[in-house]
Amino acid sequence: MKQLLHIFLTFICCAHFSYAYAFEDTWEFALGAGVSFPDIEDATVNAGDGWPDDTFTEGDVDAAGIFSALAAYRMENDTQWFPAYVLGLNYLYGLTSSVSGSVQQFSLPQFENYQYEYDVQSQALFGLLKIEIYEFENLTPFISGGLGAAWNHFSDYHETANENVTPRVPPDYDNNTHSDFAFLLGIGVNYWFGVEEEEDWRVSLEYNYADLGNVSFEEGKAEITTSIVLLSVGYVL
Amino acid sequence: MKKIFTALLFSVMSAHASEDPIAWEIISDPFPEKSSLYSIYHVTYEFTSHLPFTMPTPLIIEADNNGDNIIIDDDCTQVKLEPNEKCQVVVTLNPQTHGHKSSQLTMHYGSTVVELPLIATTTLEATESWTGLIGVDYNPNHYASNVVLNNHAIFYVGMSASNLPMTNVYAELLQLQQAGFNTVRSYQTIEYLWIDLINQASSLNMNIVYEADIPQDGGQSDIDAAVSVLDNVITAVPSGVFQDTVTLVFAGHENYDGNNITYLTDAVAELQTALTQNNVTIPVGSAVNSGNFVTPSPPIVTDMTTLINSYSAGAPLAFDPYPFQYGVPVANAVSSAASVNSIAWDYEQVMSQSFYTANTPILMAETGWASQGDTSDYACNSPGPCAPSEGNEATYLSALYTYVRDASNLSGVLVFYAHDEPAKSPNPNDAENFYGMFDADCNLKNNDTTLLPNTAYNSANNYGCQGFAQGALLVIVGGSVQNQPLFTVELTQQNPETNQSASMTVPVTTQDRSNTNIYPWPNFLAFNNAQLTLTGSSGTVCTGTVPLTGAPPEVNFPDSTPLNCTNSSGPVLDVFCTGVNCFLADNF
Repeated sequence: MKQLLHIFLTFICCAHFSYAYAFEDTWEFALGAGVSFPDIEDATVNAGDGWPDDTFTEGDVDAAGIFSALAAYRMENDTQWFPAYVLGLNYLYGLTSSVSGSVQQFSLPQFENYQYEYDVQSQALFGLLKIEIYEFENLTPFISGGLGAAWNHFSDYHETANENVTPRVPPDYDNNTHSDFAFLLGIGVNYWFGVEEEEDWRVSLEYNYADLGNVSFEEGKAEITTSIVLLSVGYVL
Repeated sequence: MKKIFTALLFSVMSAHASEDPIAWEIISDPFPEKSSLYSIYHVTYEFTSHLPFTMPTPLIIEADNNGDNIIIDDDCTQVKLEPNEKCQVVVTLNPQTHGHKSSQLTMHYGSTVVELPLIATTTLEATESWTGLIGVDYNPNHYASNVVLNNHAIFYVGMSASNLPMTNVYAELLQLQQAGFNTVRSYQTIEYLWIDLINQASSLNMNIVYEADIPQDGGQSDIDAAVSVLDNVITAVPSGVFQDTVTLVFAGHENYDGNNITYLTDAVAELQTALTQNNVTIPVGSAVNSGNFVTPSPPIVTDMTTLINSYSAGAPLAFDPYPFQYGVPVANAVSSAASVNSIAWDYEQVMSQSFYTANTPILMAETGWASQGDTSDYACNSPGPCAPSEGNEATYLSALYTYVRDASNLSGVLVFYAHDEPAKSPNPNDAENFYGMFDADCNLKNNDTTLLPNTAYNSANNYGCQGFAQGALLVIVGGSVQNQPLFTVELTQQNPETNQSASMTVPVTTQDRSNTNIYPWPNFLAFNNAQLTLTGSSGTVCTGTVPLTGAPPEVNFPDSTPLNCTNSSGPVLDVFCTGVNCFLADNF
C-alpha cells in the first residue's frame, strides 16, 4: 500500500524523476490559528407558494478567528524539488461570524424593506494533500488541496424594518446545522527549525481558499466561501 | 406567471426603496382613549396593494379582539388584490361592559405576516362615562298635535325580532341604538311612561338619563310630586333594573331663574334622598341654560357654585349650548375656540369659571341644529342670518361627534332631538319643531347618515315608528280594576307604509290598575280593518274587525259593537266595543 502511494505521488507530481528516489516516511502533526474572512452570496428564500422569492442580498460578514489541526502521513525525499508530500486530515474550526444585509421582498428593489442579521459558524474536515515544492535552506513553500465536508451552523436570525415599512413578524428560522461538500486550496511556506541539528519543527504561514457549501435557513440557502490566513506550528516525528 | 415575470422585469429597473407591499392605514378616527358603555365606535382600515402584479394567493386578515361586542366587517380576506386595488376592514366596538377593550389585526400574504398596531380604549363605567358620551334627547310624543298617538305615549306595535311583544318605545329605541345612540334622556311626568321607557331600554342594554319634573316656577309640591313619581317608578321596574339602566337623574332642566336656587338645591337633595331610600346609587344633578355657565354674572356664579355643590359626586356639569341659535356659522360652530358661542369657546368659558373643578366632565344636555323653520325667536337674527338646513344640521352634528370623541375635551352630548316634534310649538313652522335627526315619522332626514354617530346606519333595516301615524290606538279595558284575569290580545295586520307585519299577540297579566298613572289599561296600535282576537282565561274567544275613521285616523267602533264571541268550555262572555275601547267582563 505504501509503495502504491509512493508511486502515485511520484507520478502526479514528479513524473520526470525516477522512482530511484527513496522516501522517508514520518508523521506530522500541527496546530494553527488565524483569521477567516467569510463571504456569503445572495440567498433566495421562498416567500410563499406562487409568490416570487425574497432575496437576501449579499451582506457584510465579520471576520472571525479560526483554528486548525493537522494529522498527516509525511513522506520526505532528500531532494531540493518536491522534498515532501503530506497526506492527512485537516480540521478547521471557525469562530462565529455575524452576517448582515438587506431583504428584498419578492426580489423587487422597491421592497428593500428589512435589514437582516444572523450568525454563522463553520467547521470542516478535509482529506488534505500538501506538496512541498522546493527546499531553500530552512524554507519550503508548498501548495495544498483538500476535499471533505463542512458543517455550517445558522443561528440567531433577526431583522428590523426600514423606515416607512411596517415590521413583519420575523421569519421563525430555527437554528440549524447544514452539512455540505467542501473543498480547500492553499498556498504557504514552512520554516523549519530544531534543536541538536534535527530540524523537526516547523512554523508555517499559509493562505487557503475554502468553499464550505451552503448555510441553510429552512426556506433558503446561501453559499459560503472563505479566505483563511493561518499561522501554524508543526512537528515531525 | 408571465405577468409576474414582466412585472418583476420592470420593477428591477426601479430604484431601491422601502414600502409595504400591502400598505395599510386607518382612514377613520381611532378608538377614543376613553369610551362609553353601549356606544358604537368604528375604526376603518384601508389596505392598498403596491405590488406590480396581482396577488398570487389571497390576502387574509385576522383579528385578535379583547373585549365584548367587537365586530369585524372584512372586505379584504380571500381577495387577491390587483395592483393599486384597495379594500377595507371595519372594526366596530359596542361595549357592553366597562374596562379595557382592544383589537389587533394581523395581515397575511404569502409567507409574510404583519401585525398591525393595537387599537385600544378603556370603557368607563356608566356613572363615569360622561366624557365621550353621545346620547340623544327623546320624547315618544313626537307626532303632530292632532295624531291620537300623542294621547298615550306607550302602545304595543308588533312583535320584536325575539318574537316578544314590543311597544312603540322599544321600536324607536332600537332605531336610535342602531343609529349609534345608547343613552337616551327623556322628560316624563307620568309613571307608566317612565316604566316602559326604562324597561325597554333595559331590554336593549341602553341607558336612561331620567329628568324629573322640577319646573322653573315650581315649589315644594312639585318636588314632592317628582319624588312620588320617582318612588313609584323605582318600585315598578324595580330598583335593580333602575340602578342598572338609569345613569343620571336631572332635577329638572333650564329651571334656574336667578331667584330659585334654594328650591333647586332642595329638589336635588330630596331626589338624592329618594334614591338612597330606594337603595339606588345614581348621581343627581341638573342642567342649566348655557348663559348660566358660560357668561354668568357674579350673583349667578354664586348660585351656580351652590347648585353644583349640591350635585352628587359623579354628576357632570350639564348645560345647553346652541351655537345655531346665536348665529355662529356652522363651519366654526364646534371646534373653533376663537369663534364666540361656538362649543369650544363655550367650554373654555365654563372651564374658566370659579365653580369649575379641573377635569370635571361637562355634558351638553341639549344641543342641536334645526333643519328648517322660523327662527324669529332666536338671537341669531341679530345680525344673522340664522342658517337652518339639513346640511348644516349634519355638518354641525358630525363635528360635534368628533369633538366629543376627543377625550381631552372632557365633553359628552345628548343631541337635541331624536325626532322632529310638529306639536312642540303652536307655530307649525317654528324652528323649534325641526331639530330632529329623524322626522316625526322616524325617517332619517334626507337619509343622511352623517347626522348620526353611526354613519354605517342602514335605513332599509330600521323602521322605528314609520307608518304608526296611519294607525290609531285601541284600548282593551277590563271589568275588574284589581283582579282582571289574564287575557290575550291578538291583532293581525300589516303596516301600510312599511308593508311589514304589524301583527302581535300580547298577554295582559293580572295587575292592580287602581292607579292608571302607573298601570293603565294597555293600548295597541291598530291599522284599519285589523283582525282582533281577544282570548280570556274563561275560554271565551272574541273576534272582530277594527274600524278606523277620519284623518288622522282614530279607532271608532260604533256604540256597543259586539265582537263575535265563542267558548267551547263554558259560558260565552260577550265583549262590546265603543269608540277606541273594547270592554271585557270582570271574569273574561
